[in-house]
Amino acid sequence: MPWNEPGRGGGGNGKDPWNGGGQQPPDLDEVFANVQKRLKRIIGGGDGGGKRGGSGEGGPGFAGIVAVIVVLALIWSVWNAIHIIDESERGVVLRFGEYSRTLQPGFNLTFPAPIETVKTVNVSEVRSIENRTRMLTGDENLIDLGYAVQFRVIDPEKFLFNVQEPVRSLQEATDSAIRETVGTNNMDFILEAGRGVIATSAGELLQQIVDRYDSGIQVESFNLQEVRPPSQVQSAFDDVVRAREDQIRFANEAQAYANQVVPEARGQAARIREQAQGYRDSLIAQAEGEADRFVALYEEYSRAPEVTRQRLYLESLQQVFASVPKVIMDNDSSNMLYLPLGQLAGSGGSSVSAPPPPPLMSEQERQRRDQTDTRGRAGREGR
Amino acid sequence: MRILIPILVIAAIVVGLQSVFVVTETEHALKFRLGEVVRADYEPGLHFKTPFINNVVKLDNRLITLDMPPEQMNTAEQKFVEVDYYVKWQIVDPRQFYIATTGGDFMIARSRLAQLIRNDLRDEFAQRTLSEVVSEQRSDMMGQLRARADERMETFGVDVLDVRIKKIELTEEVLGSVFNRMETQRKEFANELRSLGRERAEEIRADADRQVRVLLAEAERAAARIRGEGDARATEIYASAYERDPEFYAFLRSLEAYRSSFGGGRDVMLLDTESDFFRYFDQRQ
Repeated sequence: MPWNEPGRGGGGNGKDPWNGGGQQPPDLDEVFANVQKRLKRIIGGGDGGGKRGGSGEGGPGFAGIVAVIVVLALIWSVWNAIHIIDESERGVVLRFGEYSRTLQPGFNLTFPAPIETVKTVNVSEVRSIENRTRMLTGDENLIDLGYAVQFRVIDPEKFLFNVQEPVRSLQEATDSAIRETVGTNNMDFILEAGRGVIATSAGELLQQIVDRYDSGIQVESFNLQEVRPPSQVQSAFDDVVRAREDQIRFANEAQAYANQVVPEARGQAARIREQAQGYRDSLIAQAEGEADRFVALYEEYSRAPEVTRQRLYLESLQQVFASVPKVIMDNDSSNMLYLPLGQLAGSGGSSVSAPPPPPLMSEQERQRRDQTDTRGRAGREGR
Repeated sequence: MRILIPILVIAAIVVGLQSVFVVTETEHALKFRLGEVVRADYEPGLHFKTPFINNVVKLDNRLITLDMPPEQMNTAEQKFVEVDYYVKWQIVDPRQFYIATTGGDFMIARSRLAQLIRNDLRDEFAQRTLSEVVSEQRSDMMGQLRARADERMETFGVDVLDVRIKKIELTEEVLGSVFNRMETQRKEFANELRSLGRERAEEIRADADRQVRVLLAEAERAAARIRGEGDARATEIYASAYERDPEFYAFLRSLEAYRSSFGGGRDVMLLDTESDFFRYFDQRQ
């Protein structure tokens, strides 16, 4: 029974007319019942005829066969006349091989099989060709490229009628287009800047070729998925990447050094300046102090110069002599003098009188001398 | 009589079927009358012929691909490459095609076309270097090949629409040297990059060192000036104070010098009683 054949009418679609056409099922059921009835009769009749010895009772048998054929042909015709075109498809109708019309999505009727045939073409599906291969660049280097082409049938008639194996043609054209594009560019350009440019111009070239073949195909996109040097030289290319990083790193390290050294030097320079200013300011302050002191002293001195002068002189000498070992010589006793200078210097301390003591010293003066001595000693110890 | 009817029906059907033929959109049709071509310009559709006298031959009118197997060719600089290419062609004059191929034999057309293109391509490659073939003259060359093949295939009633090179592949021995060259080029490039990096680094360091030196020297210059200023100012202050009485200043300063010079305790002084200090020491006079 043809309507149960899975291949007929594209699988599930075949059932749609039954549900869609409301008045059809009863008619067909009737026909079906009729057929069954007749079949039974024919088979029964045929068998009966055979058993009776085939004495010219073939008449009703032959008519029955014709009837069955006619009915089957009728069903077949109806079946072939109905076409459900999916939303994504178009149906191209050929009447005796000649292009007649293109069916839009939905329910369509045509003449049955020998007169009109329908070829459906999917016009929505974006199909893809992918490939990965090695090719020559313009500067005679090799490069590994992975690419994908997305395409769609936009003109079902051209797609069906103009080119043998249109998809394979596209594949070959793709191979040729990408190689031509890569062949006219240099490796560095392709690897770095040119990925997008390569894909775009290869896509354009491919569309040109496809248009020349007039195959009703539109190239939707041309993508380069993978662009890299061959594995044999990959390490050398990786090293270039590392070298580029090194290049930046070297400069950065130097910059870090500069960033450390220059501010430090600036700080040091500031220190030098500050120190100099400190020196200047302290020197001036000291000078001002000294000058003020002198002026003050001078003013007092100018009131009583003689006395002040004497006092200052004596005080100074007293201070000097108090702390220094000394030998007092009388010019009159001008003989040889033995001075144990080494010992004197070594003892480094109290005053030692020379062996010939000063001849005369009043008690008062002696006392005073002792006082001076002790005072000097005290002074020294105090230092 | 009953047997005759079906026989007549079947005969009628056979004759009917023999007198029509269908030409589809993708076909050329040739109608022969006893071996002679009588019509070749059929549009697609249903057509009639006389049964048993006319017969019809159909030929594909679509664009046909001739995909050639990869072939080794030699370029001008004696580099062997393997070339993969294809040709797109189409029958435009079915009558001529039928005659030239002795009965519409596609194999004859294909092999003739293949031979033509192969020889042409070989010549073209031999005149050009690899880089010319690969890049500069690629499309020109393909155009020339197409034009020449088209011209020569005219006798077959065939149009050559396109000759396209797919792959140009290097043979094994060339491949090795290409890889070597690529590697060397990359190494050179990497070295150059690193050297450029070092150059830049050296520049930056030198510049930094220069800045340091200049900064310090400038600071020293400023410091010397400041110190000088201080010295000058101090001198001026001293001078303006001491100017009031230089002699008194000398006296005072001398006293101070005595004090600080003889304070050490190591010195031994020999004092003459005749000196001014001892003026009152000896009261004998």
